[in-house]
Amino acid sequence: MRLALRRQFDRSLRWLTALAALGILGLLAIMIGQIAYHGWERITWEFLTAAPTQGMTAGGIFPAIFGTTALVLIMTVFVAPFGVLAAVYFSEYADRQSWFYRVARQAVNNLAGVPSIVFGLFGLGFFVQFVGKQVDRTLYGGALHYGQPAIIWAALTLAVLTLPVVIVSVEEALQAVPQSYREASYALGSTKSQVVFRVVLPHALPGVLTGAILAVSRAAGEVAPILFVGAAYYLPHLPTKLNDQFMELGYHIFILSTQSPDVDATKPLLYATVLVLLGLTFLLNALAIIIRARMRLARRSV
Amino acid sequence: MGDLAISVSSGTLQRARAPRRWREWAITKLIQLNAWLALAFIALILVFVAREAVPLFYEPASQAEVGWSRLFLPQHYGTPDAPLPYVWQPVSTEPKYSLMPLFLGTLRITTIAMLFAAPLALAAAVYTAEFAPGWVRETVKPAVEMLAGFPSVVLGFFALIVLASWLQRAFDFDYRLNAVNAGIALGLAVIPIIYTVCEDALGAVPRGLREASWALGATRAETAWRVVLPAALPGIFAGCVLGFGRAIGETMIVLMASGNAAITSWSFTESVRTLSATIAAELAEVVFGSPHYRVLFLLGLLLFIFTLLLNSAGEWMIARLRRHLTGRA
Amino acid sequence: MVTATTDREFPLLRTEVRERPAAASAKEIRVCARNFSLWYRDRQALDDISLDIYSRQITAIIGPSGCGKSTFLRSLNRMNDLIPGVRASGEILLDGHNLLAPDVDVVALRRRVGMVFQQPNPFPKSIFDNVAYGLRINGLAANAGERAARVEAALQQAALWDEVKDRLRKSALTLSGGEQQRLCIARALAVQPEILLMDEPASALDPISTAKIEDLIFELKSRYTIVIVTHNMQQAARVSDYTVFLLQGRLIEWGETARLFKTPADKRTEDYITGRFG
Repeated sequence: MRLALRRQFDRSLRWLTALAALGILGLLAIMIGQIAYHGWERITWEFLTAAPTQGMTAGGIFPAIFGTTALVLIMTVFVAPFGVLAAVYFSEYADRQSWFYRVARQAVNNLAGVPSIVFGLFGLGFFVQFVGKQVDRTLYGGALHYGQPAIIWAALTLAVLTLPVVIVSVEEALQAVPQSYREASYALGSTKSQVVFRVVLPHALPGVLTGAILAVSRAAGEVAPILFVGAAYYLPHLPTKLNDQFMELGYHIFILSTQSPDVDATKPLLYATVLVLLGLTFLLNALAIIIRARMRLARRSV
Repeated sequence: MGDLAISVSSGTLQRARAPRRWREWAITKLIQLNAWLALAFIALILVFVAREAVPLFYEPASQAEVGWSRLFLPQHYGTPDAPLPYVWQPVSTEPKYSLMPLFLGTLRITTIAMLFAAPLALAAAVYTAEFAPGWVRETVKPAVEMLAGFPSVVLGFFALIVLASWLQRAFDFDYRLNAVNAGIALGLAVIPIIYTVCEDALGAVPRGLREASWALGATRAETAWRVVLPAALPGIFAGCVLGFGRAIGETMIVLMASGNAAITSWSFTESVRTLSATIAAELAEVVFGSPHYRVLFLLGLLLFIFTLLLNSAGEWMIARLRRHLTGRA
Repeated sequence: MVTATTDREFPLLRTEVRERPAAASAKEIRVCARNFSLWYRDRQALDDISLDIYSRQITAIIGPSGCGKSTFLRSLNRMNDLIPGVRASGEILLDGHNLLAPDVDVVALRRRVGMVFQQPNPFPKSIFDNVAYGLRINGLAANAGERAARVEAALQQAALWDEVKDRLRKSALTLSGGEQQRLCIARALAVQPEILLMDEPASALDPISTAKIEDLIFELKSRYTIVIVTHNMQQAARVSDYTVFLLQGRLIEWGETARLFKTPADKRTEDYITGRFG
C-alpha cells in the first residue's frame, strides 16, 4: 500500500518537473515562432540594404545594421586587448594568494553584475561629460565636438560592459592549455612572457575568438547603455566620424515599439527588425559554441 | 629566439642580459597595470555615478527641491492631483520626488518575475539533473542558453506587442501594460540564470549520496526530494538571489512592457514604474545638472549598490555550498 | 579478535585466520546465480556466472581490478539498472525467485538486499537522520519512539552506538572516515535486510578502522548473509567462509575459503593468490 503511494509520488514529481522543462522550451518556441512567422516575409535583400522611408513604415534598416556593426567593431578594438591581457594576468601572472588578485577577481565579478542602465549613466557621466569635455578642452579649445553623445563613447561604454565576458572566455581557454606546454617551453630557456605570448596564448586563440564573439553578441543586444550615449532614431546619414551619432538595431526596435505614431503600420518592419537582431545574436552564439566545441575536441586528442 | 640560441651554444649559465630583463619587467608591469584597469572601472563607475548624484545633498538649488525627507517620507502636497502621500512627479509645477512609488513598482514587478521564474527554473533543473534521459538533457540545456541569449529589448518587444494582447484576451485587465505583463517577461529573462545555478548546485551533490539512497530502496523522486534538494539548498537559494539581482537591474523589458505609471499601490494589474525604467525614461528630457538629473543619478547609485550587494551575497553562498558538500569530512 | 592458529596457516598465503565452527552440513542457499552474463553496451563485463551464496555466511569475491567483482555485486541488488546501456542474461534467484524478472519491484528488492559502498557516503544530515532515512521512506516505524529504538539498535549492531549516542543530532560529516563507514553500515542495517552487499568497505580506511570493520562484519554474520567484494586477499581469507574468484568477467572457481586458499583447483587461482599477477 505504502509502496503504491511512493510510486505515485515518483511519477508525480517526474511529470511535474518534466512539465516545467517543457514549459520553458514551449515559451522559447512560441517566441521564436511568433517573431519568425511575422517577420520572415519582410526579410528581403532590399530590407537589409536600404534606408527606412515613409516614417519607418517602409524601406529597410540598413543604417541600423551599419550602425550596430560599426559600434561593435569599435568596441572590439578596445575590449579585446584589455580583456585578453586581463585574462593573461588572472591565468598566468597572478599570485593567487595575494590581496590584489582576490580584489581584482571580485571587481570583475561585480562588473558582470552591474545593471545595464547604470552603464548608461556611467557612459554619460564619465565618457561623455568627463572624458568628452576634456578632449574638447584640449583639442578643440572648448568647442563641443566630443562632449556629446557619440559612437566612440557608446563603443567604450559597451567595452566596459562586455569586459567580464571576454575575460572569462579567454581565461577558460588559457587554463585549458596543458601545463606540459609551459614546462617544455621553460625547460628550453624561455622567459615568462615568451612562454605566455609565444606558446600559451596562440594555443588559446580559439578561446580569444569565442570571447570576442560572445562580447559582440551581448553588445549587439544591449540598448540601455547606449540610450543617452549616442544612439539615435533617425539620422540622414551614416556615421563616418568617431563623434557621430548612429542608428542601432536594438534602439530602433525600442523606439519603433514604443514611440511609433502608427504602431500597426510599422509592425511588419518591427517584426522583421527583431528577427534580424535575434538571428544575428543566435548566429554569433552558435559560432562561439562551435568554436568552443572544436577546441574541446582538439584538446582531447592531445 | 635569437637570445636563446646564443646562450645555449655558448653554454653560459649567467643571468639573462639586461635588455631582456628590462623587457620582462616591463611586460609584467603592463599586464599588472591592465588588471588594475578592471579594478579601476568598477571604482570609476561608482565614482562617476556618485559624482553626479551626491551634489543633491549639499547643492542649495537641489536641496530646495529635494532632500532625504522628500525622497522617502510621506509628503502632504494638498493639491487635488496628488491625493496620496507618496508621489513621483518630477515634471510639474511642484516637483514631487518620492521614491516610494518606484520602490513599490520595482518590488511588484520583481516579485511577479521571481514567482513565475524560480519554481519553473528550479523544477526544470531538477528534471534535467535527476530524471531526464541524456538526450532530453542535451536539448533543454542549449534551449535555456538560447533563452539567455535573447536581448532584453526583444523580450520587451514580445511582451509589449504579443504577450500583453494575450493577457488582455485572457484576463481583461484594466490596463493593457501592467506589472503582470512585464513581470512575466522579466521572469523569462531571469529563468536562465536561476536554472543554470540550480543545475550546477544539484550536479555538485556527489553521486555517492544518490547511490546510497537508491541502495536503501528509495525511488528517484524520494532521493531527489529528501537527499539531493536539501543538500543543494544553499546553491538553489543563491540562484534565486542572483536571479533577483538581475531582475532588479533590468531596464528595457520594464520600460517597454509595464506601462510606466509611477503609482503607489500594491495592485499587480496596474501599470508600474521601476527604478531602472525611471532613469531610462526621464534622463533624455532632463536638464544637465538640475535636481531632477541628480535624483536620477541617485537612483542609479542605489541600483548599483543594491545589485552589488545581492550578487556578492549570491556568490558567497555558492562558495559556501561548495565547502559544505566537499569539506569537513 | 584474530586468533593465530599456526596449524591452520595456509601454506600459500601465510596469513592468520579466524577460528571457525565446522561448516554445518546442510546450508540454505540464499542467492544463486545461473548463467548470469552482463554487457555494458557492447562490452561484455560478466560471462556465464553460476554460483551459490549461502545463508548467514560471508562470501568474498576476489579478483584483479576490472574482473567484474563490483559489477556482479551490484547485479545482486539491481544497482546496475541505473547505468544506461546495461543488458543482462541468465538468472539470479533470491529464495527461488528470479531478481531479473521484469515484474520484480526493485524498490522492494533493495529493502531486502542492502549495500555498503567503498567510499563512505553519509548524507549531509544528522547522524540520527542518516540511520533513520531508510526507516522513513519505507514507513518502517509506527512512531517516533519506535524509530528511535530502531536507530539505536542499528547503531549498536554497527558497533557505533557508544561513540555517537551523545551526538545523534550532529552532522554525520563530523565523524571520522571509519566512523562514517560504520554509520553507513548502520544505515543499511536499519531497514533489516536479509542480505548485505559490501563493495570494498574498508579499502578507503586506515588499518585500525579496517580491523574494526572486519570484526564488525564477522559479528554481523550471525544475522545477515554477507557478500563482500575485496581486492585484499588476506582480508578475504580472514573474514569469509566462501570465496569466489573472478577473472576478466568469468568465474574461475568458488568454494569454501579454507579449501580455495589451501588447495585451489585452478592454476589461475593459485597464481592470483600467490601474487603472481593482479
